[in-house]
Amino acid sequence: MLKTNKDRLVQVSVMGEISHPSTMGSYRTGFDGVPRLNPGGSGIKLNFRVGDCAYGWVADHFEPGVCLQNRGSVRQFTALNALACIGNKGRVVTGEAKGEKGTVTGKHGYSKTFVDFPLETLEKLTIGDRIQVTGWGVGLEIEGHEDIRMMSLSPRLLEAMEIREEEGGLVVPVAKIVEGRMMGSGMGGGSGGIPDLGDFDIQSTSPELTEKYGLSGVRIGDIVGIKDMLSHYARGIHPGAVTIGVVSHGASFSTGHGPGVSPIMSGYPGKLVPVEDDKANIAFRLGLRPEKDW
Amino acid sequence: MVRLTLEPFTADRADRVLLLDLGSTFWTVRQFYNLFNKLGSVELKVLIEPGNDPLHFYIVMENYGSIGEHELKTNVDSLVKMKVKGEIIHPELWIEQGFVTTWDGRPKLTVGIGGIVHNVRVGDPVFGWYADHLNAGVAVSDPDSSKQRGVNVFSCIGNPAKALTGEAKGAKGVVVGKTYFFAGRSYRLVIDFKPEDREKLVIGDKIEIEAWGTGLTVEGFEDVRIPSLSPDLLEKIGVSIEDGKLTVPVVKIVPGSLMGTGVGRGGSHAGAWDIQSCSPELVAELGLDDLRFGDLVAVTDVTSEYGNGVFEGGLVVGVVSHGESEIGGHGPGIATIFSGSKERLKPVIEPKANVAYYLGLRGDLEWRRC
Repeated sequence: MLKTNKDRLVQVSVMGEISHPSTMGSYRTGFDGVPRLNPGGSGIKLNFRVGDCAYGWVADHFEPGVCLQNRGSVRQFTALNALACIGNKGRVVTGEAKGEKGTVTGKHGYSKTFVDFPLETLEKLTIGDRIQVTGWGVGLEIEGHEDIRMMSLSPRLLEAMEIREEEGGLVVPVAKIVEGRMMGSGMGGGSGGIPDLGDFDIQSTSPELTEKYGLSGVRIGDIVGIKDMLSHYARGIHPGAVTIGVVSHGASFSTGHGPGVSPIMSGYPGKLVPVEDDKANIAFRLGLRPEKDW
Repeated sequence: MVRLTLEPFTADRADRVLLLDLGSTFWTVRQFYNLFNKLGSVELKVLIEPGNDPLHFYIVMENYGSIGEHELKTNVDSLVKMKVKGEIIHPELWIEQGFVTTWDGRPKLTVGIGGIVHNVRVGDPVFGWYADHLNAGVAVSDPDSSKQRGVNVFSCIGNPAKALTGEAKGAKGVVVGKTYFFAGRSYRLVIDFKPEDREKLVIGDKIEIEAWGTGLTVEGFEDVRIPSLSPDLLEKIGVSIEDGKLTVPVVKIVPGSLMGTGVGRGGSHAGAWDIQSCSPELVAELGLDDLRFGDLVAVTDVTSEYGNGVFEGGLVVGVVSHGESEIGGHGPGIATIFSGSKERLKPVIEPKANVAYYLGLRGDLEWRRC
């Protein structure tokens, strides 16, 4: 069992409302020159949740479950995004589903936070419903491994990830090891600025590379290990470093875009060792999709 | 109400015993109660020296010093009691979309500014959390800056609060701190609710405060300013008069040179000003690292009467309202409750001098003994 400083981390409520889907007002031109009008962002998804495939939908940047946004100032909406950690619990505070509980599963851009609910709850929720999340995880550290920076990671998920200590580093089960060169939009921080906000994309704009690296089977919620990528204070290439992240949203036809990964751990060379394990998906680790065969 | 308990007299208690040998005169129970009821709500312990005549006993008073002719007279009857209203505000980051840079050049994500804090309350330690400017409770303000000042200035520490909306409607809280969010330029109150009520609260819930205390003065001490202190908390603190000085219990006395952000901000009735915690050596040397939220702290050679600043011979007592900070020039913030000169105001060290102790908010805590 890893020893952490979780008892010294503050639990603070953050809130957002379920935002309405929108379009760019026009067709979006894909990497292949094909204009498409694909849904994807915001709203409530009834048939697309954490645990489902990230590729193969008639959609773009498809966001799972419920998309929360805060309509306040930049300081407020980035606080929702930065302080809500994957695995934190949320509670519906308005509407028919009032009182029902969900789980934070990922982030997108720097303003969107995804929350998963059981199907019965998703059916009761409406756009505009407000959800309050108890943010807990900012500042998380593992004793003896303080140089590994963790962000957007709840103590609950960290404890469920089946990480083990080995030769001065941590062995982390991941669903897929991803080559650093595949990372695209969001690199360097993008609109988010810091790795605690939002995500960066595994580019899905080269079907050949997606096939070559066996990425087409990646699911939303998969814990992935990105090689040669350091995400301590911003996301960028760094030979030997490893970033562990959670796949937060689906693939894209836009050049340089693809399934989003919200970083949760970043280690200098030799500190994080990803090993592939089919069950390394947060929906399995947190018991969010008991009906699925893992 | 006076509660009496009988306890054996032991030597280690000697320094807390007020040598009031009641056995030498004949007191009726009625006389006894009449005397001590003047102190308000205090707890008295009657100690019996073993083997002695049970009529000769000593009295331990947690708040001794306010008996008889030294009873405080205030202008409480002429203070207006009025309702002000705010709402629970959403947390904010110090830097939009980014880290703050700490005094020693590290990037840090700020957590603890605004919102509902679930696992830290008034009475808990200020240091040791991964947080910055932590409000240990519920942050209440008004998005409109003119109303926000009204909510913050007129609300006093110790004033009762009530949830007006939502699932926790009717839940009672109490004002335990006043803060100023420097980066966002806004004033907030810190309100303490019982854990079972706090878990029902939601960001945006409206909170009403029965504001009472602005203009409070002690008779004969009109030159000592008392902003942001509710009259009933003044009574519970056990402020007394000794040698012509108003004597206030505090946990620490801090040199004014440590005061950081908030110096130069006019209006000592609103928000807090910071005891700088960006020098770990000084923090350790002065023993500031065991400060708790709600502690009463004295600061020497400063004034906080019509603005916060350096003032030779001045003395300020404040309540620790928000947590420490790693940003240069910042640290635990105190909301001023007394400001005067050293000739008129005297701090005495009392390790239990904490708002949560005086208001009985933390029955779960062991309070440090003298």
